[in-house]
Amino acid sequence: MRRTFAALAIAVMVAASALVAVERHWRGRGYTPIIVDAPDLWSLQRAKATSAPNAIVFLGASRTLYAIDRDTVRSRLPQYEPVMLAMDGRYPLATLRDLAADANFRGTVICDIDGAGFAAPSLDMQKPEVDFYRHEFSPSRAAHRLMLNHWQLDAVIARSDFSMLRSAVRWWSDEGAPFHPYQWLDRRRFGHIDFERGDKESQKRELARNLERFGGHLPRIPFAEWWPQVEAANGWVRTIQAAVAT
Amino acid sequence: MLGFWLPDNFRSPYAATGFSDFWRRWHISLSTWLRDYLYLPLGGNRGGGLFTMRNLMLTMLLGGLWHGAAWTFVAWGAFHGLMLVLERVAEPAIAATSRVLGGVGTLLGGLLTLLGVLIAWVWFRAPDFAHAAQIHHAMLVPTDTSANLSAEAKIALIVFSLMWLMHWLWRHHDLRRWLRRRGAVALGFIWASLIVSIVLSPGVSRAFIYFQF
Repeated sequence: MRRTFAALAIAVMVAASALVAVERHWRGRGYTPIIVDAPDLWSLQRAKATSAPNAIVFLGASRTLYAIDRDTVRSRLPQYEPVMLAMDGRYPLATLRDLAADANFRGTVICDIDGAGFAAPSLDMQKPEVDFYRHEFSPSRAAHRLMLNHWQLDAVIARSDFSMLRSAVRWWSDEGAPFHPYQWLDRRRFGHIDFERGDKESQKRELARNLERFGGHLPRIPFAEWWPQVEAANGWVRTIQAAVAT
Repeated sequence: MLGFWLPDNFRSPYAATGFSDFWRRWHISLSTWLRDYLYLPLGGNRGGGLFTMRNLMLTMLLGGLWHGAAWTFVAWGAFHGLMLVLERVAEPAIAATSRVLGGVGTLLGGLLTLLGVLIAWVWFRAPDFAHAAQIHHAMLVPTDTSANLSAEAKIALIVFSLMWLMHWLWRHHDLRRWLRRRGAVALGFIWASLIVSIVLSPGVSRAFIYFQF
């Protein structure tokens, strides 16, 4: 028994020392802990949209994810519980459809979408997360995610870029240091962007590339391919409005 | 630990030299449960050849379904059941070949079992048969890009090869007994390396595979 306790003490000390050394190494290079978005984090908020009767749910893509400030919403609309379901780079119709199909949802929806968001290929962009919430999310996953939030908020090494595998791949393929993020999510998925920290030159190049690709305009969508989704979305909005009225 | 006895659950499974050997080494608590509560109550091997084969197939099909309600798990169980049946049918031929080939035959048996087990894992992991077919195609059919493996693929190959070698070298050894003979310092460092490996392997979401239960 003494041998087991001695081994356990040595293991804890050696492991803690090694992990602290790795953590300090990355912090010394300017990295800070971040919450990593994932289907289970989204599903926690999706569950709150149903369970909170006073939920005000934000749907959209990156504009919504990073431009809505939770503290401002809470101070201006204290009777509502803000819930963020927007997703970076993905249009929100699949989530709107899911909320309309949820007989227990009684909240308010603020949905940000542009014309391209109604194109047929955009319809199911958020469906993987919706499917995850419907078929795989469980109380045990919720508990796991809540604990993971604390770990990700406290430790740089919780980010997969600093895993042993990714470090080995970077070393093998002679990649540079991991990406320094300039956008963050909090544990409720409300995002923030520090435009000063972004790589402005590469962003300019990316924008120029996109504009060149589309000839200065977004691709034109034929009316017949666009209108059915508008009609469907209108139906989902009516369903949600009717549910709130009952 | 705290008065509980935790039995061995895995015993160098990738060093198995046949599918019956694999199931004596892989997820031993499950295979023991399947044997005691399905295979033996069904009649085990008491009713002759065909009856035994039926019981093996039924046990493995239900073992597949135990992992999840999907046809891919049924296919995984069916493949293992079929391999167990074939092994039983070919038992005299396998024994005769082993006598002739000796150690080379054992190694060959091990490699063939490993190949079969890896092919079957695809059904276990893939969300549907279409994805499984794509993965099988990529695994088994050489293409122009096969030689240009990514860094991730090369590292996975090296790690898996080392793991297989360790399994093979340890196939007749008892890890528990070996660890019992180590001193506190060596044991502490082994445990520390495991803790560090676990903590430094975060993914986007590393949820426990059995959360669905």
